[in-house]
Order: sequence, then C-alpha cells, then structure tokens
Amino acid sequence: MKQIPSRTRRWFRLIFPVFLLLLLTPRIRAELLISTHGTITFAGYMHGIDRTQPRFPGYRAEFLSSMDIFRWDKLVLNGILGNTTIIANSPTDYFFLDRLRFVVAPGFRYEFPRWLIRGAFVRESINKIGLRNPDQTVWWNSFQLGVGSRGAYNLYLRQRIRGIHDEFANDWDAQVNIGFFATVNNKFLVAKNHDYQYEEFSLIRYHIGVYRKYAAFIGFSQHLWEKKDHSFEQKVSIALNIFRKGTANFAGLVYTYTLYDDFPLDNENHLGSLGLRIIF
Amino acid sequence: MSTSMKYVSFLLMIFGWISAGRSEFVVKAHGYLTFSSYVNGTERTDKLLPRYRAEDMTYIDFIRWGNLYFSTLLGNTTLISGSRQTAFQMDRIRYTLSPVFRYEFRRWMIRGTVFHECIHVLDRPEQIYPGFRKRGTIYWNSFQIGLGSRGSYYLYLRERYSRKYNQFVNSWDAQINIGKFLPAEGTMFTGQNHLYRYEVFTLVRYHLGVYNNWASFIGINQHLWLKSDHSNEQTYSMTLNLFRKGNVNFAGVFYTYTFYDTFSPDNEDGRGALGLKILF
Repeated sequence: MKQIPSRTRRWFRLIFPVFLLLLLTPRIRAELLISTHGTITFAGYMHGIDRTQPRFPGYRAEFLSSMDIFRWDKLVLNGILGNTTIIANSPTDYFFLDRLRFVVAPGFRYEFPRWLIRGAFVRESINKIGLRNPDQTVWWNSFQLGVGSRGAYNLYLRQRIRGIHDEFANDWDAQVNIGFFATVNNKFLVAKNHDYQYEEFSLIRYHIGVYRKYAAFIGFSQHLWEKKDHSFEQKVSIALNIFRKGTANFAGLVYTYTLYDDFPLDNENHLGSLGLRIIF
Repeated sequence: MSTSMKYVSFLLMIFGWISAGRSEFVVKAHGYLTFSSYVNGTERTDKLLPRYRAEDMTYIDFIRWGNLYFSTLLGNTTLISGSRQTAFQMDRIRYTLSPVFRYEFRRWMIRGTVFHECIHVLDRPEQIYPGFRKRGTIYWNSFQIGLGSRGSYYLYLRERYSRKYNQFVNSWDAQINIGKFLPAEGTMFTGQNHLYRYEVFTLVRYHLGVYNNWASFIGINQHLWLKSDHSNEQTYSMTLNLFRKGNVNFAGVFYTYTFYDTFSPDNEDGRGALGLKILF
C-alpha cells in the first residue's frame, strides 16, 4: 500500500479538528454563524508625493474580510483574511504593483452591550511583486488584544449609524490594542526580517452626523511599534469619511492624511489619499 | 487636466452615479473564501513544490433596478509553494477586478462581465513568457456572458438548500459562459503576454442530498481557451463538497481533482486538493 506523504498527514491533522468542530457544533451548544464582514478600499495618493524618484506612491488597494464562525453566547470565534496591494506609479508605468501585505489572523471577540474585547494571532507577510527579493520577505506573528466601544469597529458602524436620521450626532467612539510579536522560527511559523517586539495601536472616531442617507465621521489612527533595541516607530493619520447607506451595507469616499510616519516597511509620511471604501 | 483631478472626477462621477436615480443602492457582499492544500499529484519544479491555494472572490452588488443588478467582482488567488526551508513561500497572485451585471429570472439567470485578470509572481522577477518579447506580468480583459440555473451560482446555493432537510435531492444545475478576449497589445485596457482569443467555460452541479445540517454536492468544471494561433488549452476538474449550513451562510470541506489541464499560466494537471470553503 502506498504510504501517504507526511505533509498530507499534517494537512489532515490541521483540517480534521475544524471538520470535527463543525460536526460537534450542535452538541457543544455553539451556534455556527459563517457570517462575513469587512472592508474594501481603493485609494489614490493625491498630494505629498515625491515625483523625483523613479517610482513614486500611486495607489493602494485594501481587502480585509472577517468571518465569524462560531458563537457561544457573547464569545465569537472568527478569522481574518486580508491583503493590501501597494501600487506605485512612474512616468512610464501607470500601475506598477509594488508590494503585497498578506494577513491571516484567527481570533475572537467578546461582546458587551456597548463595548467589546477582541484578540487575534496576526500572521502577516510583506512580499515584493515581480521583483527579486532574495530572503527579504518580512514575516511576523503578533498576539494582539484590544478593547473598544462598538462604534469604533466597522462591523458595528452600520448599526451605529442606521439608527440616526437627519441629525448632528456629535459623538465619540474609541478602541485601543496592544500586541506582542512572537519570536518563532520553525518551518510553519517563520518570523524574519524585522526587529519589532511590541505594538500599540488605537483609533478615535468622531461621528459628525447623518443627513438623509449620508453619514460623516472622522477617524484618528495611531500605531506605535517598539523594537528590540527599545527604539520606536510610529504612524499617525486622520481620515475624513462620507458614506452613503445602502439597503444592506455602506459605500463612500475616504480622504486620509498621514500626519507622521516613520514605519519603513509601508511608509506614507505626509501623503494624502482619496479613495472609495465599501463596508460590508 | 492633471492626473489627480482626473482621479477625483472619476471618483465623484461614481459617487454621483450611485447616489442618483430611482434605483436601489444595495451594497451587498457575497462570494467565497477557500484555503486548500494539494494532497496528491504535485511535482517539485524550480526548487518549489506547489502546496497551498488561497482564494477570495467577493461580489459587491451596488445597484438594483428590478431584477437587474450591477456589481463588482474583486478577487485574488494566492498560489503558495514550499521548499525544504519553509512551508509557505508565496509564489504567484492572480488578481481579478471586474464590473458585472446579472439579470435574474425565477429559475435562471444571465450574467455578463468585463473580466480583468492579471497574474504576478512574488519575490521573483517577472519572466519572459515563451513566444513573447516583453518581460512582465500576464493580464487579460475578456467580455464574458453566461446563462445558468440559479443553483449553479454560489449566491443561490444557500437558497437551494435552505428548506431541504434529510432528503436525497438528486437534482442538477448547470451554467455555460462564453468570452471574447481583447487582443494583447500591451496597453492597460487590452492585455499582455497571452494569445487567448475566445473562451468557453461550464459547470454542471449534481446535488446529492441533505442530512441534518449537512449538504453534499458534486461539481464538474470545464474551461476551454482558443488561441490566436488556432491551438487551444483546456481544463477539466471535479469537486466533491460537504457543507454544513450555518445560521447565516455555509462552510465545509471539498476535494478537487483536476483530470486534465493544459492551461499554462496556472496549471494543476493531475493534482488533488483538499480544502476548506466558506460561502457568504
């Protein structure tokens, strides 16, 4: 009898518990949700671009989808799958696909009536597109934990805005998160080409109001990375949003300005971008 | 007019379009996510062993006029290889960005799209494809139109099974699509590095049955590409699906075996893949 290759056995080992969980869901009184939500953004850089470089920042396409898989009362187990494509521009190439950030993050959230706690194991890689990148691919694994008011998460933004009609909302939401970068180096969980140790990131959202089907809000984002040598890198940005409420979800325009950024892997210092965003 | 002004005008035009008229502004996402591993038939080539495949296809329905929907298809397929050193080596990415319409009848639907797809290599230089002079990515634009019974599209698969319990379904669904490629002239709106002229692709789905919350069906896929030098490429595959109905959507396991494949940009000839799929 032909022996099953060890990799196949490993894959079965990985897939079998998920299958078992699906099978046992009714017995463990969990609710199988399979509900997907997320954001899709396509933005073009409008100003702050240094066009003296052979290739300069052009566009940014972001796709982030989160799947809520199981629910036990207020605890939801989910998974995030996303990618961001950083597209450069040059006098000869209008769209030059430069880098790809790929994210896979199994996680959870625990919901309170007005707040929620979320956690995730974030596995991210940054790859070069169409260019030789010998052993320079960045991989990290970060354990993140955060707390925030419901309206600070896109999932509940719809709920938050749906109940408001023709009024000045003048209201605030916020979330804060911390992360610890795991130093692992085996065949499956590689962490390489970075020296980050901890991270902290937050969002403050100010809801301006709703006029007819249009909602407007402002978001202030901040992200701080602490490196192994105790130096820091950070990014601070502001985003103005005008969204139109759809029957099911939202779509609208977003203007983002990065006030300060010294994160070298995806730097947007003083860049302003205008884009379309879909919240589903 | 500067590039930035053109971009702003384009965004405002889209925003104005979605805001006006008597149509319904929907913003509803549906599609599927898969992650699969090749479990048989793989061969080590170029020091890389094809291992995994992550696929994300999301349709966003924007506008609805009666039974006519205007949507966008955003998708990407990441082909992941492995080597002796690492289990995950990002190999290639296929991007899809296509405007789509569909017209729904009670049991059937018509769907049309301008299907734009590009294939990029990751962390390696783009290659010169046999028969072409220009180094770079492959991309194409194909005008596709198709007809099918509702149950052959993932969007209506949930509907198909929602009221079925503990029964042998024994029914069929099918779809057929044809496409005309724009000649690959190397411009953004035509294509590059391919010789495809026409395509025909079909799906036949056999619904086995439902036991408790589990649904089982088999799909047979075929895709034929006719090239400008009168040669052709084709793919035939079969997929066995076992899905569990969730409160909102579906998730399950599938096994795909590719019987025959001569499609050069993404060849899976003789390979079997086992994976998880989420329909949303």
